[in-house]
Amino acid sequence: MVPGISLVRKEGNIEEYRLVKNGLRILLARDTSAPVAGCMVTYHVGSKNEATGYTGATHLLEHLMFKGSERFNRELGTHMEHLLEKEGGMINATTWYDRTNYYEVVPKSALPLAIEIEADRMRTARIIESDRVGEMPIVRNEFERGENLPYEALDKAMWSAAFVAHPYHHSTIGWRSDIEKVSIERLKEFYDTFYYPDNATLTIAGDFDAVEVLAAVKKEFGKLPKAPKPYPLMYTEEPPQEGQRRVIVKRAGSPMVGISHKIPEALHEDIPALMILAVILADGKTSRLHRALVDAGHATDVSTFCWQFKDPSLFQSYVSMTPSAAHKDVEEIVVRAYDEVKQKGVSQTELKRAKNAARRFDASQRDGTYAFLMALNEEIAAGDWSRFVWLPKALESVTAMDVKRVARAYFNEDQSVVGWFINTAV
Amino acid sequence: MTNLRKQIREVEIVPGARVFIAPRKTKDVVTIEGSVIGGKSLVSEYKTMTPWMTAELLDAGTKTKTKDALRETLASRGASLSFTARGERTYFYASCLPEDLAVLLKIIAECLGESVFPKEELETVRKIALGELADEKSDTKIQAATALSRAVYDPEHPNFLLSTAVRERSASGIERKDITQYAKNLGGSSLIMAIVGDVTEEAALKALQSFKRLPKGTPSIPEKPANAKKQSPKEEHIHIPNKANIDVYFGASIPLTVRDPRYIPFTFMSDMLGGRGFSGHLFSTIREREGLTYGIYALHSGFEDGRDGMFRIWATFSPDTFRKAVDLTHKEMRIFLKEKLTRDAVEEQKGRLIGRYLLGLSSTSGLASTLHTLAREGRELSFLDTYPDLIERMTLEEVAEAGSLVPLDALTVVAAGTFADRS
Repeated sequence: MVPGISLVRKEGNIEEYRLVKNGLRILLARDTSAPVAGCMVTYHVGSKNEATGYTGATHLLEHLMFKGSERFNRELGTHMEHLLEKEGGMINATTWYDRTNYYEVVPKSALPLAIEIEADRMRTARIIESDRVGEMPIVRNEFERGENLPYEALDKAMWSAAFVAHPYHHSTIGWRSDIEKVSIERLKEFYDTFYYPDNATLTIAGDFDAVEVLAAVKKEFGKLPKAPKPYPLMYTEEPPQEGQRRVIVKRAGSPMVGISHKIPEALHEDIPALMILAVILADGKTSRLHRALVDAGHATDVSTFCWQFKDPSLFQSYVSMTPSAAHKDVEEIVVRAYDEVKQKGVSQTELKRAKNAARRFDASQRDGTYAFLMALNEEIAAGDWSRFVWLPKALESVTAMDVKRVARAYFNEDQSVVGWFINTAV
Repeated sequence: MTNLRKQIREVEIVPGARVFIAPRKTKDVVTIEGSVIGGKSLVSEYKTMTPWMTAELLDAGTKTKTKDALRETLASRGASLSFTARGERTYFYASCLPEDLAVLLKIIAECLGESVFPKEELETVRKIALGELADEKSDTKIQAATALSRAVYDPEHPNFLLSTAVRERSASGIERKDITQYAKNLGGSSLIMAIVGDVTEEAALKALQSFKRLPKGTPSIPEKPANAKKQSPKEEHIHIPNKANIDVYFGASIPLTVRDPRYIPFTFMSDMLGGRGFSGHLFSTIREREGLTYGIYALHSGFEDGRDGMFRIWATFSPDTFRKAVDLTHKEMRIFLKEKLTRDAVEEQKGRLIGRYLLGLSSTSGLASTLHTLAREGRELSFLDTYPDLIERMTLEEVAEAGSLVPLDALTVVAAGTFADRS
């Protein structure tokens, strides 16, 4: 369609292209239901690529990426946020374990501007000390906000206990001392190591003309070189866990119980059954944990997460307790619910419910450009964007036997972490 | 943008109700957002938790279905439905696959009109209510917001929030008869509902038949006098131990309702001062220039249901720089109103607001929410198309006049967290 850009494959309504010169992966997903378009660059670098001393660096760098680039900066009167917001667009970024993304959702006429901005800051972002000094307290306040929340405090403790060697050990926001002290040289090194087109996926979604967009991508991103050296591998593997780990956080805040179990990486064949299991356990008012905890007056809320990351991660349940509930009792109720699935499996009715809920969730991920970009972005980070297309079928084919099998395989006490958040203000 | 209203059908399914059907191209998603009158002005202070607890119980059993049967009907289809009460209304939010719309609407109508509020379920909801209220006590944001409302409003005003302790007493004392009596207010005459997504007008109209059997309910919100409390400057600190962050509200009651011609200029001005994104004056000064917060936003709130509302700024500050951040926020508000309301700035803001409005309508939940708000504000469906024109015609003089409504010398500041001098 556009010389220098080759079509790699098409899955569902998503087309994958490659910018031949520098290896930039391009995904196009056209949807004309509204005159809106979105642009997202997903870099394959996240807090997983950090180590002690510079935890939180990926996220701090994400903030500095808004301070200006060669063509888009305050001095020229072309500050990126102001240019895009003036057009009615939204610009922002997020960081997580496996990836960092930068995105714009805009009226379709502003899409070329979004592409220009992302191309420019990929290699000419200003990463300078005066901006780090100004931005650090902002990021620290973001950290402080999280520390106010019992869930975040307990969750950090749970992941730290579950992973002692693998960098999922630390949260994406990082440790406070690292946020405060990481040097600009380290941040610049991070940028110069990972921010290249062959370590990124550019996704364009919404109402656009494919030929025009590819031409604009070639013009703007085609100027950029490949990385000059290989990307460093994150080779640390988590050693085997040999027994349950327990953590307690004592602080003012709502009491909670959390239970985590080790599960494999997102692309593992057992993940669809684990996702269905998570729905059966805690999605909606008919779920097992809702009935056992909320309906019984032990909890105000219960959530279960089957995380899907590039590397092995966690299956977690979190319970917000009512004042009269005891941590020990709540923990036992969750464990008993898990054991019941291990022993007796799940019913066909539960399976059907979970699959319908999954179908609705899948549809909601396509409801609007922003939702679509964010959902596809997580699959890119997990290692295969086409999972966005094939996962619904994989979920549909999960059987009750699969659910029982994965519960038996992964609900292993020795591979678990139990956490209690104890309210000290009562 | 023009003629959006032509893509949406408004029907009066029963007298007084406003129901919007908005077919969109989005596949497999139907989003429903709606509400009926049912809130705090219909109960005494002692019974203030009744609307919330009633909403929680609406899907706990009806005349013809047990709680389990209701929930199973929804869950087996992957549909979601939740009720809650806030201010003067009882809200519902739902979504389903297109083929299940009729079933979902029938259940919503049944919950609103035929719930039986089993006694044992009331006890469960009471525990949940007391649990959530206990959680509130250490929630810095909720404590600061509640205290601000109490500082700027008369106790009789609907926007005056009762303390956590008062609501705990109320939750403990509510009986089933309070709930059954109060629930008679919920009915079709005040219904507002938006059905948006993968749906045809014909299918939606057919599915809406179940709402024709809804009882009438209370058709209008009780009149209440406007706030008479004199606004005066004050600062209140709420100490909550072990908190790394301080939540801060600046605010004042504003003698304005949505029907006032100054309302839209007021929201325009408020967005220039501290709207979403990076361009608001407070964001670009207190955060971007000074590095004193992760986020600071100006909000216009409490205007729902025709009430005179509030001007608020919400921010989070570190304990170490709290004083400096508060003082500088006061100063920047003055600078904004005195120097930054210029013709060029107003012109720039127009693009921001119109574009953002367009983006907001591009998802089913965004459009459903917009339609629901439009009806709650008593506006015609055509407002969907005239809003961008109103913004386009906004003048500097109108925005400046709206800015003069902010009583800079009489703002209340409430902060909740662990203060550096009381760690």
